[in-house]
Amino acid sequence: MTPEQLNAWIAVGAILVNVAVESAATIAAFFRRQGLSEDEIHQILAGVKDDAVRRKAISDAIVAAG
Amino acid sequence: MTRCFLRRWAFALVVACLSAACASLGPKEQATEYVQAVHFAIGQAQDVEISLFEAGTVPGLTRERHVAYHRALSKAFDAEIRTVTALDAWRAGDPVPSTIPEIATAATEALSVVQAIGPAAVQPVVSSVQAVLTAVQQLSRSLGGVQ
Repeated sequence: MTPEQLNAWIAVGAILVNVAVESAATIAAFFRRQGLSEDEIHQILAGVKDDAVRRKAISDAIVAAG
Repeated sequence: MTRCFLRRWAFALVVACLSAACASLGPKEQATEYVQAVHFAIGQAQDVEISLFEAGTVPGLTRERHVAYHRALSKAFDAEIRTVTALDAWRAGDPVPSTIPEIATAATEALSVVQAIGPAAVQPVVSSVQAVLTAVQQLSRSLGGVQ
């Protein structure tokens, strides 16, 4: 293998590592999306609801203050 | 050049996989994703308006309009809270929760308050409320609605 060929293979390797690292989070999300359990859905919705209650209180306070 | 090309293809592949994954989500899972989008959008509509009002840079954004806007947002949050409760109990085949159109009605009310000021002056607020309406449509569709 010539030095040029070696450099080319190193470059290809670096690209693959970069793509793999950058895509890891997205791929993890992909697998998570394959199925949320009812319990996970319940937890997500509970979190949304809590924050909606908090934000509603902010708007209500503005209305009450006039 | 080659590196950039390969990365674009890898990104396209990941996007294609994600699209396929979304398509394979059940309606309740999709709705859970969309209800988060609705919540995020209403939150943005709240934050953006508060920032603009506190900055005092838009003369037409009076205290009366500020209050009227938040009266409408409060209704939107209230409908959202009830939607989340309904969605938690929702099963495939159930009708679309009646609370979802209520979010759209409240958002439309908020939109009319800020549009009266002049869209250019409050464009970020108008855009954020329009995002709420878009997210509500997606949520409704995900549950079989035709809104």
